[in-house]
Amino acid sequence: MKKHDHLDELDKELKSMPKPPLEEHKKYKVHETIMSATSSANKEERSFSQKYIHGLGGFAAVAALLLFVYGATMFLGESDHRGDEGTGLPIEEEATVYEFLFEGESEHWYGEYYYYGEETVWRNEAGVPQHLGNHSYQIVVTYKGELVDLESIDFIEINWSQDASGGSMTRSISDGELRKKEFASSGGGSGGRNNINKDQVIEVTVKWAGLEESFELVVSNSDQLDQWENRGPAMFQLTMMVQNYLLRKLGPETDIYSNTDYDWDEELGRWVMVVAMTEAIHEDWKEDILEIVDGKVPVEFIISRYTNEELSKKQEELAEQMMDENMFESYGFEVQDIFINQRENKVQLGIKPYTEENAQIVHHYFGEEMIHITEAMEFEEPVEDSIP
Amino acid sequence: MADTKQLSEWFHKYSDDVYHFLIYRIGFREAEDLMQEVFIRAWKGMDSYNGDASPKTWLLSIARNLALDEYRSNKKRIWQKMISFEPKHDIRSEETPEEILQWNERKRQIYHGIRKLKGNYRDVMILKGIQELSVKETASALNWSENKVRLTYFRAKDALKRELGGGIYREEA
Repeated sequence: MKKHDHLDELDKELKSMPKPPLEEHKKYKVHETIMSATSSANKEERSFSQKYIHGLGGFAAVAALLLFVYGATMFLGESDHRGDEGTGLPIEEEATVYEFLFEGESEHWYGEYYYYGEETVWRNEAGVPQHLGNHSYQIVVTYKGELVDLESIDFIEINWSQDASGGSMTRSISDGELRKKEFASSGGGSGGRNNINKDQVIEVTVKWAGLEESFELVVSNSDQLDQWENRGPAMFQLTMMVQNYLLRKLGPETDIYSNTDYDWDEELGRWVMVVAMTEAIHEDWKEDILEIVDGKVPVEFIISRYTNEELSKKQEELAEQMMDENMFESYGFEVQDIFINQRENKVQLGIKPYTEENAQIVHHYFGEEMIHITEAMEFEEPVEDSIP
Repeated sequence: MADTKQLSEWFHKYSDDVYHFLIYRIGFREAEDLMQEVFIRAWKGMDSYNGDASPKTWLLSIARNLALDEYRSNKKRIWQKMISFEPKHDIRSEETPEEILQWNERKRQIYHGIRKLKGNYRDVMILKGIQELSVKETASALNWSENKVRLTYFRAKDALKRELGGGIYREEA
């Protein structure tokens, strides 16, 4: 009885959860886009880009292009509609780059926030220009005093906000664990426009040892950008740059599939960029790509057996089956990751805990073809750290 | 030809419902990005909309399907993202939308708790729990049986309760 009483309490709490409306000006903009897209589109005449998008597995236009940009995958088949102009094509030849460094400090802390984003304007199937961008950021907050000052503290919490978004990092510290007075986090995202400009102010709050300091990061002069460009974490921007290069070389009507992604190399103990194409890549292009990558990461060129379309379809099928119920619960393990492993040219399923036997059970259900089973990655879901 | 005027009406009437579903399902920023897609997809499918479901539950079912696509692309994204983590230990970061910073602590916990639930649980919890759809409407939006809605909702609440660390349910002697 008690249990149900309490669950009813939860019902009440759920009902009272906030339901904030989308801000009016944003709502107006969305409405305008929908109206413009739906009134100008002729449903009978399928454009090249629509076919292309359906070729990717029936995702909605934006979702598919997001995947496209993010996985830096290009599959440009079904090009029988050569009469179309301007659809499925970038309107501008080059991507627009947004790169900023913000800096600021308080009495005890110094912060830097580096942002790198690229944005391309495409016409969608309705002929409406769409801005598709992605970005990565790194934030580093450094204690200005001596490391020894921090030794007695249990945790540090750092929050920042940048326009409509922000983030936080918290770190619990056990005895003697703290070796650096630099706290770093990075991330990225993709979507519409790059939501950043030089006038923005990033607010940072650091809480430590019962103290709290807030300060603002403002845009810094750009001659320090070079050193940021060469730091590791911007790696995934490289895939986008390589793929943009291939897109321009191959053109929108090619039937060559290509994909650029990272795979973990056990032997090297590091990530390797894998450029996969259904045909051998031109030697000159290889050189150009190596130049873009500039030695930041090893590059491997492979000829792939399955196209991304086939792999995405398989990934989608598997995801659908896994989503419904946790089908392996009774065997005492679960599938945590489903993504495309370029090097293996298969859909990778990460299971936890991983054993040969568990892997066999998965194969028993889904077969061997196109499936690669490994141990689940630990940081699959970003979770909030527990503050003691 | 699908009816643009009808679509506009639906937008004015139901866009908030769709938006609420999406913010809890996939997050604030992603919700904004997906809004227009939901309605464009609805417009494309309007000819096949047969009126069995209410426009609201039909739109919510489209939003849910798009959220699933988003989830799949996110799988990929999370993997991409982790490449950029250096070092990839100790510090975990999570995007915190500014909007929820204004909520009280308890509501923030519930929001994050819901975001950690598996997809099915999240769907039913948002539609039935937060948006207060009836079992029948929820079943229609999710294309489930009513029994499945009841059972999954029950399990979802249980899972959320565990996420919240017993703050709601305390075993009493």
